[in-house]
Amino acid sequence: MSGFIIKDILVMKNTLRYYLFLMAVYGLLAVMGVFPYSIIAGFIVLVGMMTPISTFAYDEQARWDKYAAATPAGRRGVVKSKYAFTLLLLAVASLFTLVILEALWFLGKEDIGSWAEPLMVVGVMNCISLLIASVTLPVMFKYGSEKSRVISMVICVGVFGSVALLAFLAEKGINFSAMGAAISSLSPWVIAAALLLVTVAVTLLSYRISLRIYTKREL
Amino acid sequence: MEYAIKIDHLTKDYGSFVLQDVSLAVPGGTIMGLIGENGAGKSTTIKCILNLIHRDAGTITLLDKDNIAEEAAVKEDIGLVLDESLFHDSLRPRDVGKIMGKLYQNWDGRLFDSYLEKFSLSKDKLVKELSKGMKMKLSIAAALSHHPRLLILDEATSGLDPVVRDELLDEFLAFIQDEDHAILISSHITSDLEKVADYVTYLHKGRVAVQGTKDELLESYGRLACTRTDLAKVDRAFLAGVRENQFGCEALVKDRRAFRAAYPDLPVDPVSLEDIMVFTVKGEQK
Repeated sequence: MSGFIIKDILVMKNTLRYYLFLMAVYGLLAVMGVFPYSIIAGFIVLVGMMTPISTFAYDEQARWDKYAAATPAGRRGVVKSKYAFTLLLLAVASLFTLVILEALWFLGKEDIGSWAEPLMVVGVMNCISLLIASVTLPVMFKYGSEKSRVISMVICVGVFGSVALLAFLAEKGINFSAMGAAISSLSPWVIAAALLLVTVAVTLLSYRISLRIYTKREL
Repeated sequence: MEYAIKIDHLTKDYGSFVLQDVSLAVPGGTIMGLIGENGAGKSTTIKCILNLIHRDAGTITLLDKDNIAEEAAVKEDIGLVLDESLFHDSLRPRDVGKIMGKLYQNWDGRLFDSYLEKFSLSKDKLVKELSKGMKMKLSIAAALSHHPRLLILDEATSGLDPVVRDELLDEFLAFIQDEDHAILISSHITSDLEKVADYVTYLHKGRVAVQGTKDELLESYGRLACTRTDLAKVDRAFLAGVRENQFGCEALVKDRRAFRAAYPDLPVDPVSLEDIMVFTVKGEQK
């Protein structure tokens, strides 16, 4: 399986460099106060959503899928590696994001309340990203990258549309920060654990579904 | 190990195409050539062997192991070359070595490097910059560098120039010197198989049309060239296919010796595998 992960890293090398460059640029712009820090956190979702789709597209282009399934790691290894690669990417993206956000907090950015806030933001972004990947990965194993792009777009529009809707409702007078504070005062650790638990459960379920789909698929 | 590959009554039904009741056996130390026109079932057979598609009936044993029950173990011993380049355009041969090293327990980096050198392949050139022949050599280097016992080649020599093809065929012959090794090679370039194959299975419309040792097939089949009147006298049981044109007739004779004994006046020449293939199709069309 690790061979497939190495393959994905090598194939995506240039794209990953590009992502790193973008993160550095946006990080700098956030420090300068041009962009809000939330844009950097949004990178986690972007990386988690786009990169696995790209690896599927490259694999299809090279007709790698048949060969990969014919290696000892087989179909199970292919499925495992796509999930592992996504997790690895999210871990790296999260680390970079965390470093930038903590630096912003240290520099005294007004919109970051405490050192724990970036941790919470990155955690939530990871959960969102994993939840999106949990939907798109089985779709990619079933239909390939081309059709999955459309589905991912729909999900993207859904997620960001919801965010836009929340912003709109906030403008209309609903006090989300009060709501958030109320939830936090109840038990922030329980809420975080619940979100994490749901994400882990959905990811595991997604893995099982992908494995079932790909095992049945004729290559 | 008696057989490197043993397929019994393999059936795969696609609806529009059926691979039906295919049986074949590849003994250790030999090369089996799988021939047939496009869409005859060669790739379907290979996909079933590699468990890339799900068969409807039959059994497949590779190196004394069931190809599904012991899939991971058996695939450690298989070297695979497909007709298309397997590796991504943005990779380099040295990247391929890194990847394969993690995919196969028996990966031999030094052996891979020696193949790259032998094939004059630069470690640092991008796959997309390689010619088709070079890409195929890279695939073969990768397939051979984990010390496989069974090599499966699906149209590996298609689209290559005769010099490269010859070079690769020599490599296959060297591989087969070990009695524990075997090769299954599918191709519609029958001349390549005439050079290297010990056994031939000819698939036609999803069924085994002709099967046997290459030498026996080339020895027993014959090509008859005669007039329509002469052909009319021949017992059709002798013939596997007939081709008629304005100048006369040509026919594929199944048993050259028996035919000569029965019709000493009619000339029968030796055939090539291509003749057997073409006449079988033409004979059916008649």
